[in-house]
Amino acid sequence: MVSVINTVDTSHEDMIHDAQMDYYGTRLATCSSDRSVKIFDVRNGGQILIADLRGHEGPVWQVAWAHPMYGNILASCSYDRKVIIWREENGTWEKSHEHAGHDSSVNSVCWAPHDYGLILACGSSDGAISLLTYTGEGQWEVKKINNAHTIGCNAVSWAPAVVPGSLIDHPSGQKPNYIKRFASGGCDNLIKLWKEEEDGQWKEEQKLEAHSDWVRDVAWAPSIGLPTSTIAGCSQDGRVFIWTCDDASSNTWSPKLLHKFNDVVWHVSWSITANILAVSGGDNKVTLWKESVDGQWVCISDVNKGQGSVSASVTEGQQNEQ
Amino acid sequence: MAARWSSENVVVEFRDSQATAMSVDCLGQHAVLSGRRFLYIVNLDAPFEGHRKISRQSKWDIGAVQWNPHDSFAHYFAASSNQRVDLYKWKDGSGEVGTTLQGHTRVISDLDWAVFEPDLLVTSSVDTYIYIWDIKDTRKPTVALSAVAGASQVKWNKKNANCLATSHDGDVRIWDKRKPSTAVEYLAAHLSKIHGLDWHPDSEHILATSSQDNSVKFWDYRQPRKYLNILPCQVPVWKARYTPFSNGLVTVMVPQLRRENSLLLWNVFDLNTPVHTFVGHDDVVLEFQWRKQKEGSKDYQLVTWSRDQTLRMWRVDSQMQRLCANDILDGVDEFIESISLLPEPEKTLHTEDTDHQHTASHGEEEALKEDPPRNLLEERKSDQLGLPQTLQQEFSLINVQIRNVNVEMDAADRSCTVSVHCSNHRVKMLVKFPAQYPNNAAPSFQFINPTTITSTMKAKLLKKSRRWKSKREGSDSGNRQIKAAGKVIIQDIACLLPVHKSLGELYILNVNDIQETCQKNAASALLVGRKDLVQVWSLATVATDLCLGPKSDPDLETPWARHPFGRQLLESLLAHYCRLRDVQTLAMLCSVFEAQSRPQGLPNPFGPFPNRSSNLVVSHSRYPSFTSSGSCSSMSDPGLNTGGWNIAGREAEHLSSPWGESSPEELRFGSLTYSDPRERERDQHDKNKRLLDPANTQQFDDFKKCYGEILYRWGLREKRAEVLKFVSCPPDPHKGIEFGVYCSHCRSEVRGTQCAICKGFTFQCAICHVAVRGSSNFCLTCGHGGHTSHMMEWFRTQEVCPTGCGCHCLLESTF
Repeated sequence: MVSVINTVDTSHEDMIHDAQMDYYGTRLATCSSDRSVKIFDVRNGGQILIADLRGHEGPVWQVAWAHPMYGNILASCSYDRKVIIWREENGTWEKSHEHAGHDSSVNSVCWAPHDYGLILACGSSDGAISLLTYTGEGQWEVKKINNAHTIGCNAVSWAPAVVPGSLIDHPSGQKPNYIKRFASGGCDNLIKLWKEEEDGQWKEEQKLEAHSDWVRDVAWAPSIGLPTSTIAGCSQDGRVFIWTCDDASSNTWSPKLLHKFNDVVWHVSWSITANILAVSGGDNKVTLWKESVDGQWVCISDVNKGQGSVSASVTEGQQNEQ
Repeated sequence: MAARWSSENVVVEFRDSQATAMSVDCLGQHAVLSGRRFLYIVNLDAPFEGHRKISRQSKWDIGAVQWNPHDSFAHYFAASSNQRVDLYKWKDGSGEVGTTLQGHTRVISDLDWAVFEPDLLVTSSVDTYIYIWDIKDTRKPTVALSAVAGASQVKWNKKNANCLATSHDGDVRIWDKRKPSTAVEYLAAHLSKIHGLDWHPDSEHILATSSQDNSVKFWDYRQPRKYLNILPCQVPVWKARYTPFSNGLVTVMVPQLRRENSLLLWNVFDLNTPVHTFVGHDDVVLEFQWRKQKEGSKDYQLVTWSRDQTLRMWRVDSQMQRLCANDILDGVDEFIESISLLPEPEKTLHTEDTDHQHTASHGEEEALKEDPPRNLLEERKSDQLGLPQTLQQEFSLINVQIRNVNVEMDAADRSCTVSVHCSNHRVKMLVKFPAQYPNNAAPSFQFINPTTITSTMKAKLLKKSRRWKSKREGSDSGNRQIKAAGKVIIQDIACLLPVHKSLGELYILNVNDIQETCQKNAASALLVGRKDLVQVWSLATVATDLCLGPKSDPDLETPWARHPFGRQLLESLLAHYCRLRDVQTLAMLCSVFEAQSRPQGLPNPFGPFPNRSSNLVVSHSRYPSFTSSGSCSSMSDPGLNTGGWNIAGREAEHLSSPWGESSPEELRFGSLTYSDPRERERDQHDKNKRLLDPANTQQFDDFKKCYGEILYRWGLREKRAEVLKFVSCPPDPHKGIEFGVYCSHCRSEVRGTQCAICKGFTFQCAICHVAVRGSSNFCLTCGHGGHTSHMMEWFRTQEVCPTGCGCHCLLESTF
């Protein structure tokens, strides 16, 4: 069964809000209310501090690794309204870009699938979602979706690049036409799906309504090439819903209640094959859920996260956010 | 569920043993299997190193067999055969019948050694009597219980030496051996025959019955009219027994189909879904028993015997045990936390009756076990708000109404004894409060007897209490406490994924020998214990057999792919692994059958496949990319080279090969260009003969790409390349320099090596004057060139262009 392979003593001086493994599962990035972001080499059960990144002026909420084809890049977002993109150059980590386009705390950052290039989505308490696209030579183009969620946006998660329902053979010689999509969750209790139009503008495509309180996290499941799209969403109301869309053309999504927890659910996270969902909640527990062959979600483990002030992050070994 | 959910680690086959019963001795050393001609004694520590046999002469099968459960008599076992019971003695590798118990007049249905007295054995029979034998005097039974009805099961109570239960069809009778004339209690338990009966290991009055009526029921025999709980099943239940740890229950179903999995582990407090399915046996599980725990090990081992003639041992690790637990240990943890957290100062005058001692009777406890320490905790946490002033007050606030938690408090002595008792765990702890408590001193914690938890758990608990202690002292001494950040725990969930890294390493994709590939992959699957995949690969071996290979002439015969076991079978396999989200299997199957559909024999009609030992990477696709001398290289990694930034440095050496590497993604370029009707027919036949439906090519590609990505994460880049060779969809448009090619015949612009307008091949080799389809090199200055191998050969000795144009190609650009 699930086994602990490492326990990393981060020596953060305050609550840790997020912990993310990189693409290969060799490095761990953590961020904390102590305003720092730390990167550890955790290969072979070790824990070597590679970098202690200072630059934020408030609690750092979330970190996100970019795909390694772009180099070693980490994005972080903070209460200080800033998004910082950190980059490793010749073995040292440095601030590569700072985005200060939000009027309030930035709560979530998520890199787009690598197929699209370097694109970062950021969700903020000012209700807006901004999209930073790397255009080369250190330049980032910013697009902003204002008023994406009234009162605030708490989470963003990109759809995988594999076009769902791409069963139709593409004409030879043509690249499949990816449509960029992402999901966001906010204080309006909604999950919203966004789609990039042909003119490059982002349009709200869908509202997923099921929660009765703030949506705390959304996670679009990685695709293994099946026509179904899946999104997990969790909320302050203690509920976790699994949304599925079997028919990309009609774009109808149906929710299924995974479980109602007794406490707020902070985060949801998928395994690389999207067969396991990890859920972390205010009860300081991480639970793993698996869909049985007949489509029922069952809890397959109950990992007590240890004691002390436990952050709300979900980190599974071998499992990276994408 | 797939086999990966199982933790079976030993399988021993006893072909033709025809054993009907099995028993594991109390030391966990031996198992006896009772066959018709032999009794097999298996050394469980070395089950593969042969086994001893005791031969027997009887026309009757052995009905029941059981080792004596007392250490001092551990080498005795009893085996019933028709109307008699043989007592065997097993010593020094050989066994013999010591005595025979004869008394029953009909077949003996069950026997059970007494839990408390090593000399007592009870037997039940269809002859309506239940006999209790004292093996010191074997002439006749010492007690005969007259049941009037024939009995199918008999079991001693595990807590009360005088109590035993028997089953008679759907009824259960509870007996006191001192009152043999009549049963103490009758339970009309089930509508059909009871197959299994098991007493709770810790509760005197609780038992579980399993029946033909598709249910397991839990009883407190003091309330014979109403069962405590029921586990409804779809099929008859053969056995249901409590686990030696926590609150588990193992059931064996009588499956309707032989291959259904029938061995399940449950948490008796959550009967909605089983905690675990032991997958492996191919036939009905006849018997299962727990091995004695090894010293120092937290794992339990379940030993099972099935009609498939295999003995299996399954590890049930602490993780799985915990799934059957009722959070007891967590509860204890928090319990201690809550004690130490309670703030309160000096002594008081308050006198109160502190004798809240409560003794839970065994029967009630079962029903009340649900999470008691947690309730206690909650009560206490809320009490913290009230801020009790004294130890006495604090004591008075403790909730003592929890039945398996017993708290004895002595405010005068400033001590408190807490004992927690749940299933077979017992913890007793003495907590002493120093005089300064709680202002400047933390209480001390000490385990006292009887405490049954392991020393590691003790250490963990003590550590926790120390932590609180230091924390408390720290904060009390006036230091402003820094909010401590928790540790980040990294868990390995690889075992939960449908994909296996080790399989990723082991799997091969040899396009030249598909058969061997399938066979080797089957062997690899066996190594990691994926039995389902062994079968899949064996099937793939058969399906890719040359004799099923399609004929080139469409009129000769219907291709194998059209057969129900052809494409249809493969599709249903793929659909199954889609549901399991096993992209590894999906991608591998797609690749193998893709390889198979490409012509065999001559490995590739379009040129040789790359020879791995050679440094020269020869393009192996039908339509290669255009590689020019040193000036640019086409990328083999369509997914990883589209952006403006370079990928990590270590990749560079792979990609900077001067020859470039073209990928088969381009295979499909220009494949729509056939206009000849015969070509079209051939094309149609081409599609029909494929085992993989060409209509789903895109999806198959997605599987391979997704698996490729996973292989990349695992650092298996070569394996990834091997899989991606079978991706057929076009690569991302090349973003580097691209060469415009104009057809040498009609001058129209061409992408690829064949002109879409005139069908001619766009360029010829300057040396052999044959159209170039494979890897090619051209001079950027004069535009002449040809087959890479020819150009290499030419420029090894020459400096000028082979066409005679006079261009010094080698100087202008380097090949």
